[in-house]
Amino acid sequence: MANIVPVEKDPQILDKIGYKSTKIEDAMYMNELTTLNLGPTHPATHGIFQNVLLMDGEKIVAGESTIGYIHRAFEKIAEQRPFYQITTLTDRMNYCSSPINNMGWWMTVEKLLGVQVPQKAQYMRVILMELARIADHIICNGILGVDSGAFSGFLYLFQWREHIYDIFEEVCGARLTTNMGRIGGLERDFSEKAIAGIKKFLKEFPPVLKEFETLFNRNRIFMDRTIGVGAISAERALNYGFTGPNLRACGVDYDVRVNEPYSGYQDFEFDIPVGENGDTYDRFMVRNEEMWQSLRIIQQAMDKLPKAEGSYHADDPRYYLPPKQEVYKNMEALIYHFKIVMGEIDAPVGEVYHCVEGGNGELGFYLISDGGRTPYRLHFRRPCFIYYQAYTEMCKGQQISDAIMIMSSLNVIAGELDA
Amino acid sequence: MKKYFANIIQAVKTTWKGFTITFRHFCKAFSRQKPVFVAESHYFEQNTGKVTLQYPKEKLPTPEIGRYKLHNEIDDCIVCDKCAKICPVNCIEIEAIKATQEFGKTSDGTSKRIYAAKFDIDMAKCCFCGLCTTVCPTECLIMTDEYDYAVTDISLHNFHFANMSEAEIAEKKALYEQYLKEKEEAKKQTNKEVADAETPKSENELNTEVKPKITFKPKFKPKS
Repeated sequence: MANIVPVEKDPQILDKIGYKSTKIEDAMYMNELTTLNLGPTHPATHGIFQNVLLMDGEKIVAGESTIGYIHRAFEKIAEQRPFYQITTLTDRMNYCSSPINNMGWWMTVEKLLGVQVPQKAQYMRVILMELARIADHIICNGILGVDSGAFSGFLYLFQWREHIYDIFEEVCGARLTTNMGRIGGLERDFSEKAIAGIKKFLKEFPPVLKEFETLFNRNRIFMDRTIGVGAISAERALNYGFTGPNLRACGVDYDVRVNEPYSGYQDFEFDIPVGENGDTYDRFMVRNEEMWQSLRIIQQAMDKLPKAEGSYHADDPRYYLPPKQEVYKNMEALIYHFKIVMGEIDAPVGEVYHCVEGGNGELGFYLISDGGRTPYRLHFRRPCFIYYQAYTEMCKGQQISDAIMIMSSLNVIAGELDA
Repeated sequence: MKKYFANIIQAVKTTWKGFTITFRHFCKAFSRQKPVFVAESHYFEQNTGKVTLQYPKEKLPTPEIGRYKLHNEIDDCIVCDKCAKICPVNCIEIEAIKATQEFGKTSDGTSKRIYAAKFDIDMAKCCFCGLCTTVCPTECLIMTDEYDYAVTDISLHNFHFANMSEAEIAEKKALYEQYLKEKEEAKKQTNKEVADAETPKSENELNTEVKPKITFKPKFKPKS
């Protein structure tokens, strides 16, 4: 792709201007190719990123991606903010499943500070993270249908995403950019309404998901559009650094929740769905199956929640804001409150890396602290950024409409791609 | 040739299954879904009704802890500046004038010693994280459930909560400066008296240092 040739057919002139290829057929073939700009603003792309595709008629020969249109310099901003204010940045990375980002960040900070989270708070975090994962997969699979022209599956499923938003709103106050959690747990216990909402979601979502699967899974037209499209081998995927559902569709069963369990995942029983060929159909099926497994995890967590030990936050007043009645009466609580609000938490010097299983793969947070009130360096290992490199390779030899399907099935979210 | 027709038949069969589903939804879509909240007993029973909300006439209910527009009860505010300091995007601007003495009490009994000359919250910059409401000690800053305040001029999104007029601000500033001046004078006076009284003292007494008296030393150990 780097050596674009001039539009010139005469071999003598080509020789004079220094065109290196000796094969005349190559030059003439290159002259017949067209460039298509699948531009930054396009209704079919999930966000803002540009792909310049070199096409032979309808087939794609090569492509080049440009990213960075939604780069908001989060890692730089995070160097100037105390820990409590960085959650608002992590919300806005993978905005389809923001509780997972928030909880991943709090777990990183807890690892740095050495704070133990009680079991009840861990189970509550698991419930919220799995609900967010269902929300993320609803978007990906629904939009995959829309990109192939099937709108009704998306509509029926998206109403359920509204219900997940209602549960989030009852837990933390906001629907999309949730900013939930504190160091050592959550900011408030689940209210009656939230628990009722989760229980009813567990009862009523499975028939809807079953209906969605009936519409898509064995639908001959959908299968023809997705089987064999955008296949990538497991070895190639591992070389690129894929993780998450995209890697599991290639046949590798790597899941951070099982390999490096965090926040109580070792207490739950769930399967890891794995595909075979690594094409679009396998990615779609893996995500569908993951939604069923997430429902299973939420059910087990809701059963274990009443008997879980501890409360919804760790009893560590150095980092967790004391309740306001104590702030008025107790001198120590007042000082802790003041220190936390001003951001003068005594953070130790050190570096820590913690990863969680995000909707798209291993979402990692690398935090270097120099003992001051803000991190010295914070790096987000964003799965979208890492596997997007493979997109142009997966598109080679496919047609232009397949390129759109591949992008939807990879679940590239622009907020996470650029951060 | 056989395969050609077999493909067509299979395609028709599977899409027919899809059509039956959408037709079922279509037939049930004559009942209107009412906007109910997630804990009502009949929330999920209207599964296949119409879900479109006729927005201005029907609204989704919001919970009590919903994070929408900010509101500050300025009479309860003690102008401690915590909300401005914790805001990630610096959307709260406060200008404070210290009072010479306590001039009132908030509704939960805290004494007010600082006037707020300016208390602006710019909702256009606000990221709705809710941190300012968490740290407010008197709970005067709350997030209401009003999310529908669109205007055509963005400067109207900068809400002013301070209720002091220009004359009052000038007056309080003048009072405080007066108070500071008087304190300076008093301090100079006492220093002079101490200096006058100290001159006939002996040598060794001048060498002793005066240590400040420690009244309270907070312990920073957490409860373990």
